[in-house]
Amino acid sequence: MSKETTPYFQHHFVDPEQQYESSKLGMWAFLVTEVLTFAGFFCAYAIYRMWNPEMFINAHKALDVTMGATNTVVLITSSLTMALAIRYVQVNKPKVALVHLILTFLFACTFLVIKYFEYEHKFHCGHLPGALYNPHVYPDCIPIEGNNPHVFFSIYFMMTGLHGIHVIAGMVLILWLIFRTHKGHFTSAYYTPVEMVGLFWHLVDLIWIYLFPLLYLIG
Amino acid sequence: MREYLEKNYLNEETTIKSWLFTVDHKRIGLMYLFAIMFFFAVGGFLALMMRLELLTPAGGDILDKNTYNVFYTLHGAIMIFMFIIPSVPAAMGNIIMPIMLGTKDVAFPRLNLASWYVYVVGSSIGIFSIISGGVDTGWTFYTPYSSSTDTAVISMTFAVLVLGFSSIFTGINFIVTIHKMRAPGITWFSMPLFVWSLYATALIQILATPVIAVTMLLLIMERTFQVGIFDPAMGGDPVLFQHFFWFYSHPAVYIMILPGMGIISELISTFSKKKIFGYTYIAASTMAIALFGFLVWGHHMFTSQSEFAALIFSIITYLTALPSGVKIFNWLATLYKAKISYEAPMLYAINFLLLFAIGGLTGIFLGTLSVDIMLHDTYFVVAHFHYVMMGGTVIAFLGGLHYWWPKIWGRMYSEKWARISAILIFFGFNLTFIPQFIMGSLGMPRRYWQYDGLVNTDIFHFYHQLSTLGSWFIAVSFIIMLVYLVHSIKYGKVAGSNPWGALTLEWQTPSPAPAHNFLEEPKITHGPYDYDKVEVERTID
Amino acid sequence: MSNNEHHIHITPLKTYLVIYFTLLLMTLITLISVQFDFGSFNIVIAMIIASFKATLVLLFFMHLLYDNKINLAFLVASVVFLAVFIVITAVDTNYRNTLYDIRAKVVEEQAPAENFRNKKSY
Ligand code: HEM
Ligand SMILES: [Cu+2]
Repeated sequence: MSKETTPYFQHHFVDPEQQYESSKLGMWAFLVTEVLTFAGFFCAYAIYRMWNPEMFINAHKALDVTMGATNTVVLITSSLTMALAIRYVQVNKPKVALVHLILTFLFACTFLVIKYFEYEHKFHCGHLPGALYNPHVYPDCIPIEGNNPHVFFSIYFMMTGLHGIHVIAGMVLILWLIFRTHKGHFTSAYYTPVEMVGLFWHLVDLIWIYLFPLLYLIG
Repeated sequence: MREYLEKNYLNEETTIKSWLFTVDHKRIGLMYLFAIMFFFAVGGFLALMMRLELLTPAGGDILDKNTYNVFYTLHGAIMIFMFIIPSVPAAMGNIIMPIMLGTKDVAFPRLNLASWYVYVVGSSIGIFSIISGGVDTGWTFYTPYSSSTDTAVISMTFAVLVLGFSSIFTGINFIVTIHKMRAPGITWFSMPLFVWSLYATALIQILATPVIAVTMLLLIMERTFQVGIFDPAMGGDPVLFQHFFWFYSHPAVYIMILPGMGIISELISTFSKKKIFGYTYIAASTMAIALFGFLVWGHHMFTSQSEFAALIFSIITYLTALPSGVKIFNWLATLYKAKISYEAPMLYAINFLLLFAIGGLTGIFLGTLSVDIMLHDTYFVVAHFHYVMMGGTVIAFLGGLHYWWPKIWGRMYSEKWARISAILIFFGFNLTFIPQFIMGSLGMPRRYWQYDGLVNTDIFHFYHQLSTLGSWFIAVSFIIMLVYLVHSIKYGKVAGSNPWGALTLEWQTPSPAPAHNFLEEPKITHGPYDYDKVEVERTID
Repeated sequence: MSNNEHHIHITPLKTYLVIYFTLLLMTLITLISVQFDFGSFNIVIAMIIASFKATLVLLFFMHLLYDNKINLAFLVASVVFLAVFIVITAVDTNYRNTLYDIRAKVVEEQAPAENFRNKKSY
């Protein structure tokens, strides 16, 4: 960050450099809390998988690997466009950055659409969490053997659901960035929000990097 | 400076709006202070009612059994989540810490304000839960009872979840402030120890609090969708709930005690006018406690988890006592041969040393696997955690409150009454809780509404009477405190900038502090405890 | 401390693209690896690959490689405590049956939902 102040400099800081570094550390501290939030779900996952290995293997076959893999690619790509967006504000090309932000947003939409179709199918088959679990014997629904398969779907829905909420939150933030970039707020002298949202968005991607093999590719 | 600063943070703007939208850390801290004191009063009232009910072995003297269950749950939940966790960091720390570091504000002032609002929203949800019948699960919300009882569990657990966020916000803010905002000249090892303790606390806040949020979320899910994670009727594991709960709640006891210990370090050095003994060791033990705190949660589950895990947890629990011991001995070494002035804050510090030592040592008893099988869920545990939380944290908080009161308001309270109430609290506290140790070791179970017909009923009756009597001593001393503190805000003697002759930075600015903390850039000419090199005059006689 | 170049490392476009294609490749490898049955090693392989991908994202997309190392320290701390939580809990759960048989019970189909449905309080 350069010393010259932008309109976004807050006066309880000594200089913009301090402000930038503070925001970044704050964001990382926040990401720590995100990791530990998901820790709870990963823990529940690990314990129940340990207890019911066969059921997990059987139940995961009800998930659609193609859709999951597509979504992985979509999210990784959106991470790339997000990273590039930051790069382009850094080199002072906000117009190009804007295009990349819009692309990121569109990839996020794609992710949700695919997710919608996956959920749709689970509802159709009655593969639902907890007490709602009510498997139907339709030809396009596989039967699931093993102990307590409803627990698998509880975990599946809660993990992907919470992740999905993060995707939506990320989309709102990206929209906000698109708006502000369009207004010309960001230059190479000040782009902290872009970078912060970027960090958040990459975290969303990171979590999916783990969710995908854990849920879709068991055994 | 001996005057009262006429234009200060309290009166620079006086509209209601200027308070509700303030980003000044001192005002936010003050709003926190009022909020937590309110909940402290509510929680205290519930406790007094429970103690009255226990005056006789029979049940139903003044509370029926369901009300009693609701009362102890709310007492615990309110005291822990709404009072003690925000008490020292979000209230005292917020007001003092940035001044100690010589900065104008915390790193994210708006986040700081948001934290207060989130706290208010969370507490309101808690109040909603109380209105809709309260909760009867105990503050620990153990499944399967919590997933099957008919009381307002969902709203209370949701309140805890929301309050968690406010705690996280404070934590993030403090971490960044301490890392990035220290005035030039203040290094990591020349920060006041109170700041170190807030730093360690903030780390725990961001590392542990998310887990309680998930736990509460899963419990809500369990009640609404019966997801089968914690509820055995649905194939879940109730002991897993205990793991989740204590992974947060044991570190949380260090969220409660560490900042209190930080206050004590300040008080002891100031009132013995000696350099604190072993600064680095105190700072390091603070961090060590925070770290170990994450490895011992299983000592709350000795009776429910596997024997192997219990064994490991018992061993590690012993280790956590070491850093606490290091602190106690450092404090004692500081006091050794010092010219101590026994003013009210120092009385609290001495209170703390005695009471916390008892609390910590009985923790070791409980951490002993075989002993705990006996003592678990008895009044011994109740006494243990009251010694550490009330005798430790609350006493330290009161010490800090009296110490920084003149900084906050610019005026002194009545020293005489302050001493009276400090001594009365010490007396009342021990009268309340020593009998509970004895009862507990004789097998009086906790969370009982009546104790008629037990083998030891007569003995229990006697000790419960003592305990109830003691609780009223505490109540009276708090009422005295309320009176003289409120009185002092308007009528107290002017305190001046440095009534105690202390060396930390907050005493270099006038009292009450100006809106941006300092009238001119603070100059760091000495360390926070350099009483061997520098002497400053007290601004009060 | 005063100017851009000093602190802000701007990653070249090429690096981003290389990382991106490595990530895609790794995804492909994961997908292939599950076609073979390595027993319980499948999950180990999958987790190693996932962690490799995660590291790439962290170091390059999230700039930890060039950043102030304190940010990295925070991240590492979060992962360490995540591991502590899962590992210790798993240890307990695994040793749960040494003295008594304590296992989660199998719920029959159509679990007893009725007694929950009529709860009034929130
Ligand atoms: C010297 C360090 C400490 C040790 C070794 C220790 C040990 C223990 C043990 C083993 C228990 C479980 C007893 C049982 O339920 O059977 C316990 C309970 C408890 N401790 Fe400590 N403790 C220590 C310090 C603290 C501190 C500093 C606090 C709070 C400020 C605290 C708060 C609590 C609470 C709230 C409970 C009871 C929770 C409940 O079941 O409702 N402890 N302690
Ligand atoms: Cu504990």
